[in-house]
Amino acid sequence: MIQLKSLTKTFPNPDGKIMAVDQVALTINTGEIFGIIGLSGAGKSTLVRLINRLEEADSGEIWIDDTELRQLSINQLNLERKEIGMIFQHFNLLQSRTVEENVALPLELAGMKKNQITARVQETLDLVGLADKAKVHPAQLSGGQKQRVAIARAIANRPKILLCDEATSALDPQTTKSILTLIKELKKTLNLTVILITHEMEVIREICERVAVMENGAVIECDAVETVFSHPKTKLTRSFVTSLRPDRKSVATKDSTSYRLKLTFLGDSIREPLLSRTIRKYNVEINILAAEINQLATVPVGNLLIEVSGSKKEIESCIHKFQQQEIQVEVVSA
Amino acid sequence: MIDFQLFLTPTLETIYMVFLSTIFAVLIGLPAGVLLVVSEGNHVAPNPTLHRILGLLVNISRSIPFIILMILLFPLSRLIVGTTIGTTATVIPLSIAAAPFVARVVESSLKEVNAGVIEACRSQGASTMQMITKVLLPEALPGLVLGITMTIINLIGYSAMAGAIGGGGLGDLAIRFGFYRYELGILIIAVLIIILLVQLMQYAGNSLANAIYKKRS
Ligand SMILES: Nc1ncnc2c1ncn2[C@@H]1O[C@H](COP(=O)(O)OP(=O)(O)OP(=O)(O)O)[C@@H](O)[C@H]1O
Ligand SMILES: [Mg+2]
Repeated sequence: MIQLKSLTKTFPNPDGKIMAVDQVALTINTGEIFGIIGLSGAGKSTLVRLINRLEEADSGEIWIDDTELRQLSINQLNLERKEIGMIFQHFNLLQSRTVEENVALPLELAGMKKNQITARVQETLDLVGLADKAKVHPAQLSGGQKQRVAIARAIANRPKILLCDEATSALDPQTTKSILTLIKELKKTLNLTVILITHEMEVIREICERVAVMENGAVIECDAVETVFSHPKTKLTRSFVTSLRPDRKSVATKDSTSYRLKLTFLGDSIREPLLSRTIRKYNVEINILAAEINQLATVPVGNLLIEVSGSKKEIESCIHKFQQQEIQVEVVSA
Repeated sequence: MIDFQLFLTPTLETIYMVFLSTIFAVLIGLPAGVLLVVSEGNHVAPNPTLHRILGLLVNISRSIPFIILMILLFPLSRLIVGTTIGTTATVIPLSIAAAPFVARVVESSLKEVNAGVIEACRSQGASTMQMITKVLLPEALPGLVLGITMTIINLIGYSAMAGAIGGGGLGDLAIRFGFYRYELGILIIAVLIIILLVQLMQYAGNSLANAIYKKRS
Protein backbone atom coordinates (compact mmCIF):
# COMPACT_ATOMS: atom_id res chain seq x y z
CA MET A 1 0.00 0.00 0.00
CA ILE A 2 1.14 3.48 -0.80
CA GLN A 3 0.08 6.26 1.49
CA LEU A 4 0.72 9.90 0.87
CA LYS A 5 0.10 12.18 3.80
CA SER A 6 -0.31 15.90 3.25
CA LEU A 7 2.45 16.02 0.67
CA THR A 8 3.37 19.51 -0.35
CA LYS A 9 5.83 20.82 -2.87
CA THR A 10 6.45 24.39 -3.91
CA PHE A 11 8.75 25.75 -6.57
CA PRO A 12 10.24 29.20 -6.35
CA ASN A 13 9.23 31.50 -9.15
CA PRO A 14 9.75 35.21 -9.85
CA ASP A 15 6.51 36.31 -8.22
CA GLY A 16 6.61 34.15 -5.12
CA LYS A 17 5.96 30.43 -5.03
CA ILE A 18 4.19 27.88 -7.20
CA MET A 19 2.16 25.37 -5.22
CA ALA A 20 2.92 22.41 -7.46
CA VAL A 21 1.55 19.86 -5.00
CA ASP A 22 -0.76 21.08 -2.29
CA GLN A 23 -1.45 18.97 0.80
CA VAL A 24 -2.09 15.80 -1.13
CA ALA A 25 -3.33 12.81 0.86
CA LEU A 26 -3.95 9.59 -1.03
CA THR A 27 -4.05 5.89 -0.28
CA ILE A 28 -3.28 3.55 -3.13
CA ASN A 29 -4.04 -0.09 -2.52
CA THR A 30 -1.66 -2.89 -3.33
CA GLY A 31 -2.42 -4.38 -6.72
CA GLU A 32 -4.64 -1.63 -8.06
CA ILE A 33 -4.22 0.60 -11.05
CA PHE A 34 -4.66 4.10 -9.75
CA GLY A 35 -5.10 6.97 -12.17
CA ILE A 36 -4.25 10.60 -11.67
CA ILE A 37 -5.80 12.99 -14.14
CA GLY A 38 -5.58 16.73 -14.46
CA LEU A 39 -4.89 19.51 -16.89
CA SER A 40 -1.40 20.55 -17.85
CA GLY A 41 0.39 22.11 -14.91
CA ALA A 42 -1.95 20.55 -12.36
CA GLY A 43 1.01 18.98 -10.57
CA LYS A 44 0.60 15.35 -11.63
CA SER A 45 4.20 14.79 -12.66
CA THR A 46 5.49 16.56 -9.60
CA LEU A 47 3.30 14.37 -7.41
CA VAL A 48 4.62 11.06 -8.81
CA ARG A 49 8.16 12.38 -8.81
CA LEU A 50 7.74 13.08 -5.12
CA ILE A 51 6.85 9.44 -4.56
CA ASN A 52 10.26 8.12 -5.67
CA ARG A 53 11.93 11.32 -4.53
CA LEU A 54 13.13 12.44 -7.93
CA GLU A 55 11.81 15.64 -6.42
CA GLU A 56 12.05 16.32 -2.71
CA ALA A 57 8.82 17.24 -0.95
CA ASP A 58 8.65 20.33 1.27
CA SER A 59 6.57 18.48 3.82
CA GLY A 60 4.41 15.44 4.26
CA GLU A 61 4.96 11.71 4.36
CA ILE A 62 5.35 8.99 1.74
CA TRP A 63 4.64 5.53 3.05
CA ILE A 64 5.25 2.42 1.00
CA ASP A 65 4.07 -0.46 3.14
CA ASP A 66 6.00 0.12 6.38
CA THR A 67 8.66 2.44 5.04
CA GLU A 68 8.52 6.21 5.13
CA LEU A 69 10.57 7.20 2.09
CA ARG A 70 11.42 10.71 3.21
CA GLN A 71 13.25 9.27 6.23
CA LEU A 72 15.62 7.21 4.08
CA SER A 73 19.25 8.07 3.44
CA ILE A 74 20.28 8.34 -0.19
CA ASN A 75 21.68 4.79 -0.17
CA GLN A 76 18.56 3.35 1.40
CA LEU A 77 16.50 5.33 -1.07
CA ASN A 78 18.44 3.91 -4.02
CA LEU A 79 17.66 0.42 -2.72
CA GLU A 80 14.00 1.26 -2.29
CA ARG A 81 13.90 2.74 -5.81
CA LYS A 82 14.58 -0.74 -7.16
CA GLU A 83 11.10 -1.58 -5.93
CA ILE A 84 9.59 1.31 -7.88
CA GLY A 85 9.71 1.15 -11.67
CA MET A 86 8.98 4.26 -13.67
CA ILE A 87 8.11 4.95 -17.29
CA PHE A 88 7.92 8.27 -19.07
CA GLN A 89 6.27 10.03 -21.97
CA HIS A 90 9.49 10.17 -23.96
CA PHE A 91 10.72 6.68 -23.05
CA ASN A 92 14.16 7.93 -21.96
CA LEU A 93 16.12 4.97 -23.25
CA LEU A 94 19.91 5.02 -23.45
CA GLN A 95 21.18 5.48 -26.99
CA SER A 96 24.47 3.92 -26.02
CA ARG A 97 22.83 0.60 -25.29
CA THR A 98 20.90 -1.98 -27.28
CA VAL A 99 17.42 -3.02 -26.23
CA GLU A 100 18.70 -5.86 -24.08
CA GLU A 101 21.43 -3.70 -22.57
CA ASN A 102 18.85 -1.07 -21.67
CA VAL A 103 16.80 -3.68 -19.87
CA ALA A 104 19.95 -5.00 -18.20
CA LEU A 105 20.89 -1.58 -16.81
CA PRO A 106 18.70 -1.61 -13.68
CA LEU A 107 19.91 -5.15 -12.97
CA GLU A 108 23.53 -4.04 -13.27
CA LEU A 109 22.75 -1.13 -10.99
CA ALA A 110 21.31 -3.58 -8.48
CA GLY A 111 24.49 -5.65 -8.64
CA MET A 112 22.97 -8.77 -10.17
CA LYS A 113 25.35 -11.38 -11.58
CA LYS A 114 26.04 -11.50 -15.34
CA ASN A 115 24.42 -14.85 -16.09
CA GLN A 116 21.38 -14.03 -13.98
CA ILE A 117 21.05 -10.74 -15.85
CA THR A 118 21.02 -12.51 -19.20
CA ALA A 119 18.24 -14.83 -18.11
CA ARG A 120 16.19 -12.07 -16.50
CA VAL A 121 16.52 -9.77 -19.52
CA GLN A 122 15.36 -12.54 -21.81
CA GLU A 123 12.42 -13.32 -19.58
CA THR A 124 11.46 -9.66 -19.29
CA LEU A 125 11.67 -9.00 -23.03
CA ASP A 126 9.39 -11.99 -23.52
CA LEU A 127 6.90 -10.45 -21.11
CA VAL A 128 6.70 -7.27 -23.18
CA GLY A 129 6.77 -9.13 -26.50
CA LEU A 130 10.05 -7.76 -27.80
CA ALA A 131 12.37 -10.75 -27.60
CA ASP A 132 13.16 -10.44 -31.30
CA LYS A 133 14.46 -6.88 -30.89
CA ALA A 134 17.00 -7.67 -28.19
CA LYS A 135 20.10 -6.76 -30.19
CA VAL A 136 18.68 -3.64 -31.82
CA HIS A 137 19.42 -0.05 -30.77
CA PRO A 138 16.40 1.98 -29.61
CA ALA A 139 16.72 4.41 -32.52
CA GLN A 140 15.42 1.68 -34.81
CA LEU A 141 12.21 1.12 -32.87
CA SER A 142 8.76 2.67 -33.17
CA GLY A 143 7.33 4.69 -30.30
CA GLY A 144 5.26 1.79 -29.06
CA GLN A 145 8.22 -0.54 -29.16
CA LYS A 146 10.37 1.99 -27.32
CA GLN A 147 7.76 2.23 -24.59
CA ARG A 148 7.77 -1.57 -24.35
CA VAL A 149 11.51 -1.51 -23.84
CA ALA A 150 11.08 1.18 -21.21
CA ILE A 151 8.46 -0.94 -19.49
CA ALA A 152 10.76 -3.96 -19.61
CA ARG A 153 13.48 -1.84 -18.05
CA ALA A 154 11.11 -0.56 -15.38
CA ILE A 155 10.01 -4.06 -14.37
CA ALA A 156 13.38 -5.80 -14.79
CA ASN A 157 14.02 -5.68 -11.05
CA ARG A 158 10.48 -7.00 -10.47
CA PRO A 159 9.35 -3.95 -8.54
CA LYS A 160 6.24 -3.70 -6.41
CA ILE A 161 5.19 -0.43 -7.94
CA LEU A 162 5.07 0.98 -11.45
CA LEU A 163 4.81 4.73 -11.93
CA CYS A 164 3.67 5.86 -15.37
CA ASP A 165 4.03 9.54 -16.22
CA GLU A 166 2.03 10.19 -19.40
CA ALA A 167 3.37 6.91 -20.72
CA THR A 168 1.02 6.88 -23.68
CA SER A 169 0.81 10.59 -24.46
CA ALA A 170 3.33 10.36 -27.29
CA LEU A 171 1.60 7.39 -28.90
CA ASP A 172 -1.27 7.01 -31.36
CA PRO A 173 -4.60 5.66 -30.06
CA GLN A 174 -4.02 2.11 -31.21
CA THR A 175 -0.53 1.88 -29.76
CA THR A 176 -1.86 3.50 -26.59
CA LYS A 177 -4.35 0.66 -26.26
CA SER A 178 -1.73 -2.00 -26.73
CA ILE A 179 0.54 -0.40 -24.14
CA LEU A 180 -2.34 -0.09 -21.68
CA THR A 181 -3.23 -3.72 -22.27
CA LEU A 182 0.37 -4.66 -21.58
CA ILE A 183 0.38 -2.69 -18.35
CA LYS A 184 -2.83 -4.39 -17.30
CA GLU A 185 -1.37 -7.83 -18.03
CA LEU A 186 1.87 -7.09 -16.23
CA LYS A 187 -0.04 -5.80 -13.26
CA LYS A 188 -1.67 -9.21 -12.99
CA THR A 189 1.36 -11.40 -13.68
CA LEU A 190 3.74 -9.42 -11.49
CA ASN A 191 1.21 -8.24 -8.93
CA LEU A 192 2.14 -4.62 -9.50
CA THR A 193 0.61 -1.56 -7.98
CA VAL A 194 0.34 0.96 -10.80
CA ILE A 195 0.08 4.72 -10.55
CA LEU A 196 -0.76 6.18 -13.90
CA ILE A 197 -0.78 9.83 -14.79
CA THR A 198 -2.63 11.09 -17.79
CA HIS A 199 -4.62 13.98 -19.10
CA GLU A 200 -6.81 11.65 -21.15
CA MET A 201 -9.97 10.32 -19.56
CA GLU A 202 -9.95 7.45 -22.05
CA VAL A 203 -6.80 6.09 -20.52
CA ILE A 204 -8.43 6.21 -17.10
CA ARG A 205 -11.52 4.46 -18.38
CA GLU A 206 -9.41 1.85 -20.13
CA ILE A 207 -7.43 0.51 -17.20
CA CYS A 208 -7.84 2.35 -13.92
CA GLU A 209 -9.77 1.12 -10.95
CA ARG A 210 -9.68 4.36 -9.00
CA VAL A 211 -8.85 7.85 -10.07
CA ALA A 212 -7.79 11.10 -8.45
CA VAL A 213 -8.49 14.37 -10.19
CA MET A 214 -5.92 17.12 -9.65
CA GLU A 215 -6.28 20.84 -10.06
CA ASN A 216 -3.75 23.46 -9.01
CA GLY A 217 -1.71 20.95 -7.07
CA ALA A 218 -4.59 19.60 -5.03
CA VAL A 219 -6.61 16.42 -5.36
CA ILE A 220 -10.15 17.67 -5.83
CA GLU A 221 -11.84 14.33 -6.33
CA CYS A 222 -10.86 10.74 -5.72
CA ASP A 223 -13.04 7.70 -6.14
CA ALA A 224 -13.72 4.51 -8.04
CA VAL A 225 -13.63 5.19 -11.77
CA GLU A 226 -17.28 4.18 -12.25
CA THR A 227 -18.36 6.58 -9.57
CA VAL A 228 -16.37 9.43 -10.99
CA PHE A 229 -17.83 8.68 -14.40
CA SER A 230 -21.39 8.42 -13.23
CA HIS A 231 -21.29 11.12 -10.57
CA PRO A 232 -18.58 13.61 -11.28
CA LYS A 233 -18.57 15.97 -8.34
CA THR A 234 -16.60 18.86 -9.73
CA LYS A 235 -16.86 20.91 -12.87
CA LEU A 236 -13.41 19.85 -14.02
CA THR A 237 -14.25 16.17 -13.67
CA ARG A 238 -17.50 16.68 -15.52
CA SER A 239 -15.62 18.25 -18.37
CA PHE A 240 -13.24 15.30 -18.46
CA VAL A 241 -16.12 12.84 -18.53
CA THR A 242 -18.02 14.63 -21.25
CA SER A 243 -14.86 15.02 -23.31
CA LEU A 244 -14.86 11.28 -23.75
CA ARG A 245 -15.52 10.05 -27.19
CA PRO A 246 -17.71 6.97 -27.52
CA ASP A 247 -15.94 3.81 -26.61
CA ARG A 248 -14.38 2.52 -29.79
CA LYS A 249 -13.66 -0.85 -28.24
CA SER A 250 -17.28 -1.88 -28.25
CA VAL A 251 -17.97 -1.08 -31.89
CA ALA A 252 -16.71 -4.51 -32.60
CA THR A 253 -18.76 -5.49 -35.60
CA LYS A 254 -20.78 -3.57 -38.13
CA ASP A 255 -24.16 -4.08 -36.58
CA SER A 256 -23.13 -4.44 -32.95
CA THR A 257 -22.65 -1.35 -30.88
CA SER A 258 -22.86 -0.23 -27.31
CA TYR A 259 -24.56 2.55 -25.44
CA ARG A 260 -23.74 3.87 -22.08
CA LEU A 261 -26.96 4.64 -20.27
CA LYS A 262 -27.73 6.32 -17.03
CA LEU A 263 -30.90 5.01 -15.52
CA THR A 264 -32.67 6.80 -12.75
CA PHE A 265 -35.68 5.20 -11.19
CA LEU A 266 -37.91 5.76 -8.27
CA GLY A 267 -39.74 3.63 -5.81
CA ASP A 268 -40.95 0.17 -6.59
CA SER A 269 -39.32 -0.39 -9.92
CA ILE A 270 -36.09 -0.90 -8.00
CA ARG A 271 -37.34 -4.06 -6.50
CA GLU A 272 -37.89 -5.63 -9.85
CA PRO A 273 -35.03 -7.66 -11.26
CA LEU A 274 -34.89 -5.22 -14.10
CA LEU A 275 -31.63 -6.04 -15.77
CA SER A 276 -31.79 -9.79 -15.75
CA ARG A 277 -35.23 -9.61 -17.31
CA THR A 278 -33.98 -7.24 -19.97
CA ILE A 279 -31.12 -9.52 -20.88
CA ARG A 280 -33.45 -12.45 -21.20
CA LYS A 281 -35.92 -10.57 -23.30
CA TYR A 282 -33.59 -8.73 -25.65
CA ASN A 283 -30.49 -9.89 -27.37
CA VAL A 284 -28.15 -7.53 -25.53
CA GLU A 285 -25.36 -7.67 -23.02
CA ILE A 286 -25.38 -5.39 -20.04
CA ASN A 287 -22.48 -4.28 -17.94
CA ILE A 288 -23.11 -2.44 -14.75
CA LEU A 289 -20.55 0.32 -14.45
CA ALA A 290 -21.95 1.91 -11.35
CA ALA A 291 -24.94 1.46 -9.13
CA GLU A 292 -26.28 3.50 -6.30
CA ILE A 293 -29.45 3.63 -4.34
CA ASN A 294 -30.31 6.61 -2.26
CA GLN A 295 -33.14 6.73 0.21
CA LEU A 296 -34.89 10.04 -0.29
CA ALA A 297 -37.35 11.24 2.32
CA THR A 298 -40.14 9.04 1.08
CA VAL A 299 -38.93 6.89 -1.76
CA PRO A 300 -35.69 5.17 -2.72
CA VAL A 301 -33.97 6.58 -5.79
CA GLY A 302 -31.76 4.33 -7.85
CA ASN A 303 -29.02 5.33 -10.19
CA LEU A 304 -27.48 2.85 -12.55
CA LEU A 305 -24.77 3.44 -15.07
CA ILE A 306 -24.81 0.60 -17.53
CA GLU A 307 -23.26 -0.27 -20.81
CA VAL A 308 -25.59 -2.06 -23.19
CA SER A 309 -24.08 -3.84 -26.16
CA GLY A 310 -25.90 -5.41 -29.05
CA SER A 311 -27.48 -4.32 -32.29
CA LYS A 312 -28.74 -0.79 -32.43
CA LYS A 313 -32.29 -1.94 -32.87
CA GLU A 314 -32.22 -4.21 -29.82
CA ILE A 315 -30.67 -1.48 -27.69
CA GLU A 316 -33.34 0.96 -28.77
CA SER A 317 -36.09 -1.43 -27.85
CA CYS A 318 -34.49 -1.92 -24.46
CA ILE A 319 -34.41 1.81 -23.90
CA HIS A 320 -38.03 1.97 -24.92
CA LYS A 321 -38.84 -0.81 -22.47
CA PHE A 322 -37.03 0.97 -19.65
CA GLN A 323 -38.96 4.14 -20.39
CA GLN A 324 -42.24 2.27 -20.32
CA GLN A 325 -41.41 1.23 -16.79
CA GLU A 326 -41.01 4.88 -15.85
CA ILE A 327 -37.32 4.71 -15.67
CA GLN A 328 -35.57 7.85 -16.68
CA VAL A 329 -32.99 7.00 -19.34
CA GLU A 330 -30.14 9.25 -20.26
CA VAL A 331 -27.79 8.21 -23.06
CA VAL A 332 -24.37 9.16 -21.69
CA SER A 333 -22.53 8.06 -24.77
CA ALA A 334 -23.31 6.08 -27.85
CA MET B 1 69.40 17.60 -50.75
CA ILE B 2 67.32 17.18 -47.68
CA ASP B 3 68.07 14.22 -45.51
CA PHE B 4 64.73 12.72 -44.58
CA GLN B 5 66.37 10.80 -41.79
CA LEU B 6 66.55 14.21 -40.12
CA PHE B 7 62.77 14.29 -39.62
CA LEU B 8 62.27 10.84 -38.21
CA THR B 9 63.38 11.44 -34.65
CA PRO B 10 61.60 14.83 -34.25
CA THR B 11 58.40 13.34 -35.65
CA LEU B 12 58.56 10.46 -33.21
CA GLU B 13 59.33 12.92 -30.42
CA THR B 14 56.29 14.98 -31.29
CA ILE B 15 54.10 11.89 -31.34
CA TYR B 16 55.57 10.80 -28.01
CA MET B 17 54.97 14.17 -26.36
CA VAL B 18 51.45 14.51 -27.71
CA PHE B 19 50.56 10.94 -26.85
CA LEU B 20 51.78 11.12 -23.25
CA SER B 21 50.42 14.57 -22.56
CA THR B 22 47.02 13.60 -23.99
CA ILE B 23 46.89 10.70 -21.57
CA PHE B 24 47.81 12.87 -18.58
CA ALA B 25 45.53 15.70 -19.68
CA VAL B 26 42.62 13.27 -19.90
CA LEU B 27 43.54 11.71 -16.56
CA ILE B 28 43.26 15.12 -14.94
CA GLY B 29 40.67 16.77 -17.17
CA LEU B 30 38.13 13.97 -17.39
CA PRO B 31 37.44 13.69 -13.65
CA ALA B 32 37.46 17.47 -13.39
CA GLY B 33 34.95 17.79 -16.23
CA VAL B 34 32.74 15.07 -14.76
CA LEU B 35 32.82 16.78 -11.36
CA LEU B 36 31.98 20.11 -12.95
CA VAL B 37 28.86 18.60 -14.47
CA VAL B 38 27.55 16.43 -11.64
CA SER B 39 28.17 19.08 -8.99
CA GLU B 40 26.03 21.61 -10.81
CA GLY B 41 22.69 22.87 -9.42
CA ASN B 42 20.19 20.09 -10.09
CA HIS B 43 22.43 17.40 -11.49
CA VAL B 44 23.09 14.04 -9.84
CA ALA B 45 25.37 15.26 -7.05
CA PRO B 46 24.79 18.97 -6.55
CA ASN B 47 27.61 20.74 -4.74
CA PRO B 48 27.64 24.46 -5.56
CA THR B 49 30.86 25.19 -3.67
CA LEU B 50 32.84 22.48 -5.41
CA HIS B 51 31.34 23.53 -8.71
CA ARG B 52 32.38 27.14 -8.27
CA ILE B 53 35.91 26.33 -7.10
CA LEU B 54 36.52 23.88 -9.94
CA GLY B 55 35.16 26.31 -12.50
CA LEU B 56 37.44 29.03 -11.17
CA LEU B 57 40.52 26.78 -11.25
CA VAL B 58 39.78 25.71 -14.80
CA ASN B 59 39.30 29.29 -15.94
CA ILE B 60 42.47 30.54 -14.27
CA SER B 61 44.63 27.80 -15.73
CA ARG B 62 43.10 28.28 -19.14
CA SER B 63 43.85 31.98 -19.17
CA ILE B 64 47.60 31.60 -18.64
CA PRO B 65 49.42 31.72 -22.02
CA PHE B 66 51.14 28.45 -22.73
CA ILE B 67 54.70 29.81 -22.92
CA ILE B 68 54.28 31.48 -19.54
CA LEU B 69 52.77 28.33 -18.09
CA MET B 70 55.74 26.36 -19.33
CA ILE B 71 58.18 28.68 -17.63
CA LEU B 72 56.10 28.71 -14.45
CA LEU B 73 56.16 24.93 -14.46
CA PHE B 74 59.93 24.56 -14.86
CA PRO B 75 60.34 23.76 -11.16
CA LEU B 76 57.65 21.07 -11.37
CA SER B 77 59.30 19.52 -14.44
CA ARG B 78 62.64 19.53 -12.66
CA LEU B 79 61.04 17.92 -9.63
CA ILE B 80 59.33 15.14 -11.53
CA VAL B 81 61.58 14.50 -14.54
CA GLY B 82 64.85 15.94 -13.19
CA THR B 83 65.28 18.40 -16.05
CA THR B 84 63.39 21.20 -17.76
CA ILE B 85 64.39 20.47 -21.34
CA GLY B 86 63.72 17.58 -23.63
CA THR B 87 60.57 15.84 -24.64
CA THR B 88 59.77 14.14 -21.34
CA ALA B 89 60.12 17.36 -19.38
CA THR B 90 57.82 19.10 -21.86
CA VAL B 91 55.07 16.56 -21.27
CA ILE B 92 54.39 18.15 -17.89
CA PRO B 93 53.47 21.67 -19.01
CA LEU B 94 51.68 20.23 -22.03
CA SER B 95 49.53 17.99 -19.83
CA ILE B 96 48.74 20.78 -17.44
CA ALA B 97 47.93 23.22 -20.22
CA ALA B 98 45.58 20.75 -21.88
CA ALA B 99 43.87 19.41 -18.74
CA PRO B 100 41.51 22.38 -18.20
CA PHE B 101 40.68 22.33 -21.88
CA VAL B 102 39.77 18.65 -21.55
CA ALA B 103 37.70 19.48 -18.48
CA ARG B 104 35.60 21.99 -20.45
CA VAL B 105 35.30 19.63 -23.40
CA VAL B 106 34.09 16.84 -21.11
CA GLU B 107 31.75 19.23 -19.36
CA SER B 108 30.08 20.35 -22.56
CA SER B 109 29.75 16.78 -23.88
CA LEU B 110 28.21 15.48 -20.68
CA LYS B 111 25.77 18.37 -20.57
CA GLU B 112 24.37 17.13 -23.86
CA VAL B 113 23.16 13.93 -22.22
CA ASN B 114 19.37 13.92 -22.23
CA ALA B 115 17.96 14.98 -18.86
CA GLY B 116 15.12 12.47 -19.18
CA VAL B 117 17.60 9.63 -19.54
CA ILE B 118 19.43 10.76 -16.42
CA GLU B 119 16.15 10.97 -14.57
CA ALA B 120 15.13 7.47 -15.70
CA CYS B 121 18.38 6.06 -14.36
CA ARG B 122 18.01 8.00 -11.14
CA SER B 123 14.57 6.43 -10.74
CA GLN B 124 16.24 3.02 -11.03
CA GLY B 125 18.42 3.77 -8.05
CA ALA B 126 21.71 4.56 -9.78
CA SER B 127 24.39 5.87 -7.44
CA THR B 128 26.44 8.87 -8.55
CA MET B 129 29.33 6.66 -9.58
CA GLN B 130 27.08 4.31 -11.54
CA MET B 131 25.45 7.28 -13.16
CA ILE B 132 28.84 8.54 -14.32
CA THR B 133 30.27 5.26 -15.58
CA LYS B 134 27.16 3.57 -16.96
CA VAL B 135 25.13 6.51 -18.19
CA LEU B 136 26.88 9.86 -18.59
CA LEU B 137 30.18 8.77 -20.13
CA PRO B 138 28.77 6.11 -22.50
CA GLU B 139 25.94 8.38 -23.64
CA ALA B 140 28.36 11.25 -24.28
CA LEU B 141 30.99 9.06 -25.96
CA PRO B 142 30.86 10.45 -29.52
CA GLY B 143 31.13 14.02 -28.19
CA LEU B 144 34.00 12.99 -25.93
CA VAL B 145 35.85 11.43 -28.86
CA LEU B 146 35.53 14.62 -30.88
CA GLY B 147 36.58 16.70 -27.88
CA ILE B 148 39.66 14.61 -27.25
CA THR B 149 40.54 14.79 -30.94
CA MET B 150 40.41 18.55 -30.60
CA THR B 151 42.67 18.30 -27.55
CA ILE B 152 45.21 16.21 -29.44
CA ILE B 153 45.28 18.70 -32.28
CA ASN B 154 45.78 21.56 -29.86
CA LEU B 155 48.57 19.59 -28.22
CA ILE B 156 50.33 19.09 -31.55
CA GLY B 157 50.34 22.88 -31.88
CA TYR B 158 51.46 23.45 -28.31
CA SER B 159 54.21 20.84 -28.61
CA ALA B 160 55.61 22.73 -31.58
CA MET B 161 55.60 25.88 -29.47
CA ALA B 162 57.31 24.02 -26.65
CA GLY B 163 60.08 23.23 -29.11
CA ALA B 164 61.04 26.88 -28.98
CA ILE B 165 62.26 26.50 -25.43
CA GLY B 166 64.04 23.22 -25.71
CA GLY B 167 61.14 20.86 -25.97
CA GLY B 168 62.35 18.76 -28.88
CA GLY B 169 60.11 17.47 -31.63
CA LEU B 170 59.13 18.98 -34.95
CA GLY B 171 58.75 22.49 -33.57
CA ASP B 172 62.26 22.38 -32.21
CA LEU B 173 63.54 21.16 -35.58
CA ALA B 174 61.69 23.86 -37.49
CA ILE B 175 63.02 26.60 -35.23
CA ARG B 176 66.60 25.32 -35.14
CA PHE B 177 66.96 24.83 -38.86
CA GLY B 178 64.42 27.19 -40.30
CA PHE B 179 64.79 30.13 -37.95
CA TYR B 180 68.42 30.03 -36.84
CA ARG B 181 69.99 28.53 -39.99
CA TYR B 182 67.63 29.84 -42.64
CA GLU B 183 67.05 26.37 -44.04
CA LEU B 184 63.60 27.15 -45.31
CA GLY B 185 63.13 23.71 -46.90
CA ILE B 186 63.46 21.97 -43.57
CA LEU B 187 61.09 24.43 -41.94
CA ILE B 188 58.48 23.87 -44.62
CA ILE B 189 58.75 20.10 -44.44
CA ALA B 190 58.49 20.20 -40.63
CA VAL B 191 55.35 22.29 -40.95
CA LEU B 192 53.96 19.93 -43.58
CA ILE B 193 54.50 16.97 -41.28
CA ILE B 194 52.67 18.84 -38.52
CA ILE B 195 49.80 19.57 -40.91
CA LEU B 196 49.73 15.92 -41.89
CA LEU B 197 49.59 14.80 -38.27
CA VAL B 198 46.74 17.19 -37.59
CA GLN B 199 44.82 15.99 -40.65
CA LEU B 200 45.34 12.38 -39.68
CA MET B 201 44.12 12.95 -36.15
CA GLN B 202 41.08 14.86 -37.28
CA TYR B 203 40.24 12.15 -39.77
CA ALA B 204 40.67 9.39 -37.22
CA GLY B 205 38.61 11.25 -34.63
CA ASN B 206 35.79 12.01 -37.04
CA SER B 207 35.71 8.44 -38.30
CA LEU B 208 35.57 7.03 -34.81
CA ALA B 209 32.80 9.41 -33.71
CA ASN B 210 30.83 8.67 -36.87
CA ALA B 211 31.22 4.96 -36.37
CA ILE B 212 29.75 5.33 -32.88
CA TYR B 213 26.87 7.48 -34.14
CA LYS B 214 26.17 4.99 -36.88
CA LYS B 215 26.15 2.04 -34.53
CA ARG B 216 23.54 3.81 -32.42
CA SER B 217 21.22 4.85 -35.21
N1 LIG C 1 11.51 22.03 -11.70
C1 LIG C 1 10.53 22.96 -11.64
N2 LIG C 1 10.83 24.24 -11.35
C2 LIG C 1 9.87 25.17 -11.27
N3 LIG C 1 8.56 24.94 -11.46
C3 LIG C 1 8.19 23.68 -11.75
C4 LIG C 1 9.15 22.62 -11.86
N4 LIG C 1 8.50 21.47 -12.15
C5 LIG C 1 7.19 21.81 -12.23
N5 LIG C 1 6.99 23.12 -11.99
C6 LIG C 1 5.70 23.81 -11.93
O1 LIG C 1 4.84 23.08 -11.09
C7 LIG C 1 3.53 23.01 -11.62
C8 LIG C 1 3.12 21.58 -11.81
O2 LIG C 1 3.90 20.98 -12.83
P1 LIG C 1 3.78 19.48 -13.26
O3 LIG C 1 4.83 19.21 -14.27
O4 LIG C 1 3.74 18.61 -12.07
O5 LIG C 1 2.36 19.45 -13.96
P2 LIG C 1 1.64 18.29 -14.76
O6 LIG C 1 0.32 18.13 -14.15
O7 LIG C 1 2.51 17.10 -14.83
O8 LIG C 1 1.49 18.92 -16.19
P3 LIG C 1 1.64 18.26 -17.63
O9 LIG C 1 0.35 17.60 -17.92
O10 LIG C 1 1.89 19.44 -18.51
O11 LIG C 1 2.81 17.33 -17.59
C9 LIG C 1 3.58 23.80 -12.92
O12 LIG C 1 3.11 25.09 -12.65
C10 LIG C 1 5.02 23.82 -13.28
O13 LIG C 1 5.34 24.99 -14.00
MG1 LIG D 1 3.56 16.08 -16.42
